[in-house]
Amino acid sequence: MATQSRRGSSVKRRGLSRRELLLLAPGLALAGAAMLGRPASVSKAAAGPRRGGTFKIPVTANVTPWPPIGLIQNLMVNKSLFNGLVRYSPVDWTPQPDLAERWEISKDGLTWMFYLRKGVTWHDGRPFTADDVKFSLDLYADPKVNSILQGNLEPLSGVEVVNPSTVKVVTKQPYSSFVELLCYLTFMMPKHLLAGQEFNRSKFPETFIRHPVGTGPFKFGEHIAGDHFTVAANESYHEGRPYLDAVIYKVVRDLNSTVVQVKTGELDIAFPAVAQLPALESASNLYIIERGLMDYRFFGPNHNDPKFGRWFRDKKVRQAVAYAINAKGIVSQVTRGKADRSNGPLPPALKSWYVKNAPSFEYDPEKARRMLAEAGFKAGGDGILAKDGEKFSFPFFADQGQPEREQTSLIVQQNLKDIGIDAQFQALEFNSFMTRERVKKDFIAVCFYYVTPATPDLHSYWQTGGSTNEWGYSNPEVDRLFREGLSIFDQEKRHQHYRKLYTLVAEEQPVVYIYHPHEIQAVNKKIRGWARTDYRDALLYLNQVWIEA
Amino acid sequence: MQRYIVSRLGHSVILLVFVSMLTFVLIHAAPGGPAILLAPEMTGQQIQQAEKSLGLDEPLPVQYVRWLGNVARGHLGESFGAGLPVTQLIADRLPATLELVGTGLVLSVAAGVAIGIVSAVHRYSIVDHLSTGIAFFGMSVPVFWFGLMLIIVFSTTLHILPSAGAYTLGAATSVGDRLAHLALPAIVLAMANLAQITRYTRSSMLEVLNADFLRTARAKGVSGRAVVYHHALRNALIPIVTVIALAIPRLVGGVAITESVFTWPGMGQLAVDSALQRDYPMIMGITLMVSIVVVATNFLTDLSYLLLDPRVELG
Amino acid sequence: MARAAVGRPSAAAPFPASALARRPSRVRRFWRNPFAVVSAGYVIVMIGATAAAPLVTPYAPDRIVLGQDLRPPSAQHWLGTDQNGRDEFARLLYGARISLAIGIVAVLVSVTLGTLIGAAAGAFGGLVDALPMRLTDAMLAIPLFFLLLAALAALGSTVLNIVLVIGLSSWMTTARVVRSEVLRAVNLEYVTAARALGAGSRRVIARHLLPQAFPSMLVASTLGVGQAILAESALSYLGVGVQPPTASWGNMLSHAQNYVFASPLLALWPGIAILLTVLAFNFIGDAVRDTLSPYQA
Repeated sequence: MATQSRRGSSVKRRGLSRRELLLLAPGLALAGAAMLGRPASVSKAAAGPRRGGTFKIPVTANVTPWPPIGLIQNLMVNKSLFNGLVRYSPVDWTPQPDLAERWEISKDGLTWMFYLRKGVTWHDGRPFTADDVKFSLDLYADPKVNSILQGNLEPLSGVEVVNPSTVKVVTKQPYSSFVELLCYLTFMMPKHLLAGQEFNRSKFPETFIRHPVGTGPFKFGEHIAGDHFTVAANESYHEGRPYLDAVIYKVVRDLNSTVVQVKTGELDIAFPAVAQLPALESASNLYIIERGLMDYRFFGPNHNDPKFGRWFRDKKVRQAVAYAINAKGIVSQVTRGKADRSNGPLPPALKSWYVKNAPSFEYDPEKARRMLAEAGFKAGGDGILAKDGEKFSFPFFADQGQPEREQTSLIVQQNLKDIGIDAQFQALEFNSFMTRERVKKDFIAVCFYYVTPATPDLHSYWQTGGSTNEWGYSNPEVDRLFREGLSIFDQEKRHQHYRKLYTLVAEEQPVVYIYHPHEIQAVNKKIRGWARTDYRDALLYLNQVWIEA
Repeated sequence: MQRYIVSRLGHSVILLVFVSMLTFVLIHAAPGGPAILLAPEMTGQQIQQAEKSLGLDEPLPVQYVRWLGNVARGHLGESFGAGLPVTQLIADRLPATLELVGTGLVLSVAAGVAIGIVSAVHRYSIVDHLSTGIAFFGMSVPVFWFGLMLIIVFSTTLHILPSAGAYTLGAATSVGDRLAHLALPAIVLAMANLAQITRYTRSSMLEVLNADFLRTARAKGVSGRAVVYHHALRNALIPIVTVIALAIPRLVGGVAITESVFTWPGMGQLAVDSALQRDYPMIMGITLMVSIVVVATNFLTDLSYLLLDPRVELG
Repeated sequence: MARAAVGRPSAAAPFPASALARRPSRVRRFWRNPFAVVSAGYVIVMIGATAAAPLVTPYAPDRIVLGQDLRPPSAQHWLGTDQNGRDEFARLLYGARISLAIGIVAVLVSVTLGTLIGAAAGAFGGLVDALPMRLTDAMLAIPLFFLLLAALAALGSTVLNIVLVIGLSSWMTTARVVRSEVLRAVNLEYVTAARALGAGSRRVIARHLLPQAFPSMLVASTLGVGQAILAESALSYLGVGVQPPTASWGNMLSHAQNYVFASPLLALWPGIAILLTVLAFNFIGDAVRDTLSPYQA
């Protein structure tokens, strides 16, 4: 699923005399058994996982453990405190049981039954039951709460408690991607602590935030606002007590500081940007790892822009722009090769759904110029293309403060300039950017990114009128394919169907897909059992992490 | 005296109300709401709904009056970002900032006064020129760059001092550890004010040293050092009180950047984040707190003039 | 507010008319100050180089070259290249245009505003005095930098907004200084004489009162440019100043911080540029103040 480049892993074998071998045999046997589950890990001494230790992980801002918000630092903490019904597999992102042992879909595709794990308790000792599931799902679906999961739960018509360990969910229409979306941040909340309280996007239940209670492998330890958030091992976790004694989420807002601190050992893991790798090259106590990510970076023109919309709606123009942008150059310069060239919204990391041979538009400025000429564009005296008396000249936005985005935008600007499109890059402060791009849709083009759940059902981005389709892309064939996809439950048929859909999307280039970044992790060599996936999903398996002595 | 105090208090309250109104209008000046509303996954509709739930679509005067009413009752509201009361968040962060500002103030005043006196007494000597140089450097260097350079030299390269935070997490807190973390940020903070204090002390010492009454004292045979310390210093102290009073708002302003550079968990960083994320209740709360501090400081310094300088009269 | 019966040292050092009368020898004093001379030279050279930037460097500050990023100083690139392969020296030079322009225009705004308000307050007194002075007190009580931040975050970071925000937040000291100058001058004999002769207020202000304040304005202006450049760089560093891809020393510094491990020198150059420029203006301002001040400082 992800390319891995590991530094410094080597297994040293010393020569042993026969006598030493005999003495060491039992220990080696144990070590060998323990190592079987970790094919590529380094083990200098014997013994498997050991208890104890603290895992120190950085977050960029103060934490508020309230799942409906969904800000990145919060969800890092939430993943150790709470569980969902299902979660993504660390191997290939397919849905795995979490609090739900198994699930079934009825023949008509409208009724789901979730069979819950028995014996799960909340951190305060009370039992986890189907009531909590109903409460949580209703909470996330409530428009007043305004959670980011609201869209995922919108197709639900009702959640019903069948018995304390069985939940029935009925959907208005067939919803084949339901479980995949349920894996995404849908944490179970305790009804007995939260029922009857008033909360919305801006008003949080204060007592709960000060002392959150979940079913997760760790329970709330300590919170010094702005400094750190500590969670301690949950002795009665349903998968067994985690190896670690505690996890400390340390607030480190500056990326450079995280790099310095992971080198000195003040942090056990960091997520450096490409620009910071030179500092980590010589660190002998760290592994530098790349992981795949559900993230796509793109250049998105607004199909509904009053002036240029009619040009952007023309597939040939979009394809010409795709040919003009040097995506491979961007990958090598901006990400130093730690990314994949993109042909659509699904990354190669999502092995089961990625469409390998979809049409792609490799850098060819000559072809771009020709296509635009065929579409009726003529270069004026200043070299800028024009058609029907209108110059192809416009500003495009990106959110400021993101070095990679800025570099990408500058290269895009230059590439477009080279073929006669005068696109001027402007960095906007994040709030202004979101307001213009998301709320008012007042933009001509943007250079941005999306992180999505691991599902092929990304209709909200590409379907006409989709809630996150702010570039106004509209194609009846794509709409139809998305709609039909929801009714297909047979996985083989689903694969074929979505392959067709994403081949079409790649051909259409509603936005110009540039690259899928890899996530870079710098992990202290003492840390073992850290799942081999991006950190957001690895955090779901914190109970398996242990620290070598 | 009593009438003076009462009238000053009255003026201060009006000032504070005015300041809060100004701030309120300023931050609500344009659309584009608080960052809490703007998770990248949110849809446009959700963002608008969130604004409505915060009461941000109501007319400004209504919102302001509501805020004022809450303040009168002692509620500063809840932070958009953390969901916790503003007062609590400020109270949590205040000690760290006081620690930093206090240390910076002490450093800059101690160093500044000392250097200023020595420069005045030994005018045009090496020390004088050196102190002028340092003063100018402190006035002209961009604070964040200076901090960054110090971090690169002492932390990243030499590994002598830590680069961020107030203490090492997980280890037992010791005085030495805290001091090590305090060193660089306090120096950076002190640097900016060192200039002003040094030059003020120097010029006011010079002024006083040349004054008539000192020549009289010297003529009467009072020793040089007695002249300096007893007569000159006391009179030179008055403007120094001014300087400290002037330094406080500057320190408060400077602490924001210093805390950002060194990731110091104090109010300055809270202020910068709130401003950038448009956490309106937080911004209003912080402005109010800081204004109260500044106004109170001004009041106290003016009061101290009344006590220190017999020449000053109530105007 | 407590007023000292005897003048206590304050930010507004008094400049009696006698200082102006002896101007010729004072000016010579300015040129005798080595720091001031070097600084003046530096400023002139910098402004010249910046204005004639295309002649000084063959590189465009925004030309990206793939594969040439983060190069150390060399014969082709005197200060090396930045993260996008753009020539660092060229960016410093073109960035100087923005930083200097913002500094100078912001100071013009603040000194003009401050002078107008201060002169009116000193000359007319009463409400025209009380209201602006209360406003001044209010603005000095607010954590200003913090509000600059909030204002720019709310209004958007165009160059115009940055200039206005910096200018509108630093008029207070000038206003106070000018006001006290004017108050002093109002009592001078020839002013009283002019008024007795029937000169209108505006004439009195313009021809007799303002010139008294001129030295203070000059000092405030030169020192103010330094402060404005520092303010712009701080704002850009925090992300609400000049936006990329336009280069300003402040945002070059903030970008360099991301690449401090790959190319630490990148963080050095803009910082030194700011330091030298602000130092120069501070030396000049200080020398001007010395030149015009009757005190031996």
